[in-house]
Amino acid sequence: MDYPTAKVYIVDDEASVRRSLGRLLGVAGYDVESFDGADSFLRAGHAEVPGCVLLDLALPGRGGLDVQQALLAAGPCPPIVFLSAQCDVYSTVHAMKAGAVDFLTKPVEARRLLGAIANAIRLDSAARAERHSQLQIRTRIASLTRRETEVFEHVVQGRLNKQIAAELGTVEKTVKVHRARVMQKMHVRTLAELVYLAILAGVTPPHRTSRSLGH
Amino acid sequence: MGLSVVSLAVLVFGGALWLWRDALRERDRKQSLEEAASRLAFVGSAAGLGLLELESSRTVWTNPQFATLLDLAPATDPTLQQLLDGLSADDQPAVHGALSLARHSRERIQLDVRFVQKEREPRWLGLVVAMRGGSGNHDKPRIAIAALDVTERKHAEIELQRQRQQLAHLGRVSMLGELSGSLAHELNQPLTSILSNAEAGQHFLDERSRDLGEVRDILQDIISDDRRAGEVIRRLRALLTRGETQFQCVEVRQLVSDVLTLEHGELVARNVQVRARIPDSLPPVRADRVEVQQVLLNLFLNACDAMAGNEPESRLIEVQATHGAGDTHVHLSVADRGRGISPESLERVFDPFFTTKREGLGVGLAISRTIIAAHAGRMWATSIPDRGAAFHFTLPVFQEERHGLSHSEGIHRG
Repeated sequence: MDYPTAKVYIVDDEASVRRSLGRLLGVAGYDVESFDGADSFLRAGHAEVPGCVLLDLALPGRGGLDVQQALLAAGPCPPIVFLSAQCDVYSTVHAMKAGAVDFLTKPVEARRLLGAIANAIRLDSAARAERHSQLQIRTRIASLTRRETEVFEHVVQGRLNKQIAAELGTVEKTVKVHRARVMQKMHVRTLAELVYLAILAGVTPPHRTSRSLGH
Repeated sequence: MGLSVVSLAVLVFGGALWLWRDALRERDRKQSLEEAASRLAFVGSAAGLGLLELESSRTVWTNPQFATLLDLAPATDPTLQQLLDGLSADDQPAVHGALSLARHSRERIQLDVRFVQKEREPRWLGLVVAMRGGSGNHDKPRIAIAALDVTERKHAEIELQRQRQQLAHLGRVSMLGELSGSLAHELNQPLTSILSNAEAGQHFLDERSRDLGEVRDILQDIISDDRRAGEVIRRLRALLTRGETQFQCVEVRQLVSDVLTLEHGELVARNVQVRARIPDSLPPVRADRVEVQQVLLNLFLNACDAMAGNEPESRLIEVQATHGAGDTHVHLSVADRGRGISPESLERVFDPFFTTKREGLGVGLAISRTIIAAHAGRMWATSIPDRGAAFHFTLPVFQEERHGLSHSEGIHRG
């Protein structure tokens, strides 16, 4: 197993389906939690480990597509693998456009199901890692002083120390000091690394006059 | 002296006159008896109506037409046994039942029976069985049987019935298209569980350390899911059979729950809730299970369609059954919360090919109405504009048949 401690949330209104899928995913090494409907699942919230949702499309009351919308509205959520007893084009397109990882039809082969689940969890792990590093970068950026931030923005836009000094109305030597502090605070050694972090953090494209960074 | 001669003459003349008048009366009576007999003979021959009178199962009077109907020489006096011998074995108990019912209850009983002849097409005889006399005068009670060849009428009826059944069957087949989504759901759910359970079971067996209790549970689940799938198929097959209409004693609650099971997936997919109110005291009805299921299924599907534009929380179907004390029929209704039906369309919805849907032939309600009519019930619609429509129908309460009249489809008490 790629992610043996990963969590799978099964949402299906039929007890026999929940039980059988739970067994299958259980023997595959996943930590399984089952819910009988949209409301109980949305109330429960999800754990801070990589995981995915195996979501029945035709739930009584709020259907699978509703649950997907509610999850997306609530912020970062585990990826969704839809499972449907009926193959209908409208729902499939709708679900995939809204970012579902896969759309499986019942009855589903174990190979196909486990493949989709593993893929979803891989995506979730990657997304979690990215969210984590983004958070780190933002924390580092937040630790910069106002002057350092300005220097950082100019540096990643490819300006020379001399140009930056002119822009900020100071001398090249001062800019050099700020620049060294930025490299240190951002935990990087080369300009290339700094630019990479700036892109990850979504630093705004080059402007003549500097503003605040990030969102 | 003269006086006595005159009075003697008067006496003799008077006596002669009296005798003569008596003779005239006797002649008149004979004449009117003959006339009555000739009228009866005329009626019998003109209508082809056979008549037979029995006194404790012995023929006391008959007419030539009865012998003709039984394929006997007109001069013979047919017996009850000869009539019974010619009947199809299925119909004999009904005639016995009718005779005993007539004798005990003095009701007039009508029934249609098949008369089977050697090397000829069987013919249908319409029989009327009734008691005659025996009420106070010296006559012993007699059973009178009137018989008429009703083969042509019966064939027309059977043909009509066959066409109605075919139409109903076509209606069911076409409804299957609308149900396909539901059926896929109802079959795929258990199949999903079976497949996942079986595959999980293989893993369990591969890892020898696992306990067998889990495997036993898995097998138990597989069995019950398989039964469930089988049940769906059984219901489906029952709905699609091209069987003859069979009136049976049917519980309304069972009918409704069968239909809801078949349509469960469709209702879930369309987010429609169903509320059924069927009192425990409701008597069983006399109905053809499949055909009434068809009517209910059709009404449920229509109700779902009518509410497709509603907010999910106001998609509700209410099924209700009521029976007033002493009523001959049970009243069922299926109400939706759709936009309703305009007053001018309330009757037209039952016309063939009348439809408001883009897809659909518009024959569902027309077929439903013929089904209910064949059950001796009525079907109609009511509606409150913008609040919804309700479809109502009635089915006769099931009556236990009396005196062994089990084969009684053709019996009408008059």
